[in-house]
Amino acid sequence: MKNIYIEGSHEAYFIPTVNFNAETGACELAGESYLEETIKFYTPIFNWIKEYISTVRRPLTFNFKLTYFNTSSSKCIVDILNMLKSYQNDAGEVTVNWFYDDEDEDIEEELEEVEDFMLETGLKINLIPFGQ
Amino acid sequence: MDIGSEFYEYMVQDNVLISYAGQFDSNLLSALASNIENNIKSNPVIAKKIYKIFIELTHNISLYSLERIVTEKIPEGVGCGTIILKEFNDYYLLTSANMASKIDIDPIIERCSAINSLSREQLRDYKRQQRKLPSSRKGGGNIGLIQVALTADNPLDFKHVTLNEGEYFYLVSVKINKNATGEE
Repeated sequence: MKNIYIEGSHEAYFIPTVNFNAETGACELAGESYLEETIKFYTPIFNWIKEYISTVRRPLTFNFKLTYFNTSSSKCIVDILNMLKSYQNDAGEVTVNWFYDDEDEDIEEELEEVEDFMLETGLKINLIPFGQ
Repeated sequence: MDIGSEFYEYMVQDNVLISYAGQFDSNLLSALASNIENNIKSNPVIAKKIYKIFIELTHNISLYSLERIVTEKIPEGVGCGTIILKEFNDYYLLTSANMASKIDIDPIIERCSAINSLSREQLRDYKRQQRKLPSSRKGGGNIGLIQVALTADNPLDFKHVTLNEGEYFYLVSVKINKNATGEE
């Protein structure tokens, strides 16, 4: 199974950096996510997770290091978390870490959003300050 | 009042920081969004809130505005509308306006009314419920306006005017308090 690497950029739209490793099961989504066609961008990511879950079936570690994402992207993040939750329910080993900037004065709203992701998907997300 | 005085009153006395009407082209929106950060350098928390709200409101116009400019490259067209950012003593006011069709205006009015009737916790629950629904016919996530109210921590002021049969002019304004810190 192939890895995914997409270099992030901040132009008219913001592309997140995607780094998924099929050997180690370490997956990272970092930077900013505000896309022209959100579902089109995230579809190969969904497909990669589906393939890993059905064929590789080793542990998966998801590291979210997003500093900004719009509401359309948040819907795709929920879709990813739901896939990970169903893998976990099916005896898959899943760890989800959410990195945040604890020096950001407006961090309350982001932490509230991560809490909403947990309530919405039933998946435990570890909150880790950047730098740890 | 002559046109110069009217313009002065509108742009200077009302403290207009950004005023744009036209095609919601992504490059231009990106330049305007950067301008927000430069205009409100003294308070990065507020600048970030306005920036997030700006992106949701302008994205809605790009997707849903009935008035569209169709090009060969973008057959579904780019939405047209208006976005205005004003500064007052205690708050900033961000207003977006655009034309909308009957099929889009009814759910927007329903959603705005629901948003304004809910507490913050209820609003978060409403967002979680709405996020579970399939994406809108234009690919939107159904939750942009809910997020606008959550980020601003203020109700939405929304109005619409019927223009012709099935055509509406729709406006939404939201205040962002200058003393907002992001903490409840």
